[in-house]
Amino acid sequence: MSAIKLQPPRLALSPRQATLLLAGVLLVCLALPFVASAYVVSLLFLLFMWVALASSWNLLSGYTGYVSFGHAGFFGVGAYAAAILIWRLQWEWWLACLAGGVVCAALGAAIGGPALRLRGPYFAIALLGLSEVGRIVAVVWEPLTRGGLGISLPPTAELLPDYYAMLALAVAATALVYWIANSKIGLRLLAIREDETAAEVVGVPTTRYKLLAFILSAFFPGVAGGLYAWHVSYIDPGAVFAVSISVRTIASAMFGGAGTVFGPVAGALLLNLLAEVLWVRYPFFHPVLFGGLIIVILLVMPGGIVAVLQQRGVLPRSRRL
Amino acid sequence: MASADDAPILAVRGLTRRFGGVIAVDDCSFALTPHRVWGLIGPNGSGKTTLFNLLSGVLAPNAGQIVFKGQNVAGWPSHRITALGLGRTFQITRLFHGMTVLENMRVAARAADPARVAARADELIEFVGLNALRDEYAGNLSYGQQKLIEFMRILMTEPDVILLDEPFAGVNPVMENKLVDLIHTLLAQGKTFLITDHEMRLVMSLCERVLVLDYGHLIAEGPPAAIQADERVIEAYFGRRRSAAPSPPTPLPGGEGSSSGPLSQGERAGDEGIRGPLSPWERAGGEGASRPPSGSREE
Repeated sequence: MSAIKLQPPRLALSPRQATLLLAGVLLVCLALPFVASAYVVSLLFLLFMWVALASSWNLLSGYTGYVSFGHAGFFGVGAYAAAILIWRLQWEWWLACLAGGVVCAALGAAIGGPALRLRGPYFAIALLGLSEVGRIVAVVWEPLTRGGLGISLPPTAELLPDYYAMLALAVAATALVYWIANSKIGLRLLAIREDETAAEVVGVPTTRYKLLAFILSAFFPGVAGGLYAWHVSYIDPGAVFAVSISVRTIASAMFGGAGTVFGPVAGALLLNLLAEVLWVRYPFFHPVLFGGLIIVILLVMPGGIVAVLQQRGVLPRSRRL
Repeated sequence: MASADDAPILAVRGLTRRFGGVIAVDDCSFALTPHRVWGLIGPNGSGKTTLFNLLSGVLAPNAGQIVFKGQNVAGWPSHRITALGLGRTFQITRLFHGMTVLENMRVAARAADPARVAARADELIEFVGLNALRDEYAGNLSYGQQKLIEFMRILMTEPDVILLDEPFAGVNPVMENKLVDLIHTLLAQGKTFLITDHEMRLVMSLCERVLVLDYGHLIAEGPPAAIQADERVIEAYFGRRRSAAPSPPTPLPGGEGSSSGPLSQGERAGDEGIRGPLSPWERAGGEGASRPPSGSREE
């Protein structure tokens, strides 16, 4: 009886090397606004937003296998909650954005119980309805949301606070996924993805763990929506409840590797950078090209970048990735 | 006066489960006393796996009680029943294939201390001789190895009662011996087993008492020798005799008069219930075998 022998990975970093690499990347991100143009800083703001969205989606869907199309709903609710608090109650923008996250976490707690009784496509469709319900409520509830007119916020004078706030959110989402992936919680979430009945039988309170993942996963798009609203100074229902937000989030996470820590980070950065390039180069055809690209990528690499690199022996098989 | 060992650790009263018009388990009542190996047999479709699913909380009963350690756990979610000390394996192994052997063990651990969990997991993996595969994905293991690891994974939950659903199905003789040895070891440590399997030779050799299900009804209970001679059990397995003339009952697998193998499990275990390696169906064929040996009904 012998174990399957694997070649040692070509890119195996020691914990110290990995820490240094991450610290270096973080330092570069912190320093970039001082040397880069406003366009680049704004682009990075959006890239970090996609990182936060993809990582938080991964927390639920990558680890438990419950594929959620509800991120656009939480993004929109967070955006509206923050915008209303800033516009009507004159809250500080950062506090309003955090409150947007809390509102979404509470919403997640409220709808998670019934929604997580559903599995597979039924769960996905139920969550798809969240963004549509959110959009309709935002349109109809005019006294609070100004309906289709949208909400205008005071324009931000500086890019740096927004940039650093979104960077912090992306780092926080990734750090949380890393911590969970390397804890017993992460193992139990993975067990749910593998076989929920068997997970229950070995003692995993699956409902509790799924709900926890759902609530945490809802918090980050709420904050991201608030930051986005503050950054662009204007939101309307069609923009922040767009289903395309969910689709791009899912595509980003799957491109990098759902159920891994850094896959969704890499996927969000690469895919959305690519989307930007296509938009700049082909302003009329970029949606078609981007959609086609997503299909091709998912066909060629269904497990994502990290899985391909692990299979080819470039990266080690580790939950830390 | 009844000793503490005679008090049932698991008692089932009037347990019933329906699927539409089909009554898979019908008003079943029995009690398992601790520190014993109990057998659960019955033809295919008799409700054995449904009963296991009810006992372990995978399914909720339509009626009846399941009293485990003094608490009625009928309808409880599986994880609560597991936490109370009842573990089970599945007929077809259900390891987490995308996780390593060690991760499969860790996920089931009740202990909170990571060092203690790791030590226990290593101990159990080594116990079944699979320490070389501890970091391998469970999906890459052979079926027999998966059976052993699933068994070990349940032990991580520290159960007092262990339900084994067809533990010997698809397992080669070497693994089979390992499983039998393991059951004896755990029995000596005070565990209680309820085992269902179509491998009668092993069931009869391992079990002190056997329960027999047929069409969801509990039709017999007793020591293996009595079960093998029970007309209702024989009829359940082989059908009603066509001839009115009395004739000696066809022996069940492992019954009196059957040929003896070179070294049967029962001989190793010192149990008088075991006789030989021939399957019941090999010896039972011909007259009286009106029900096919397997596959006639779905579980």
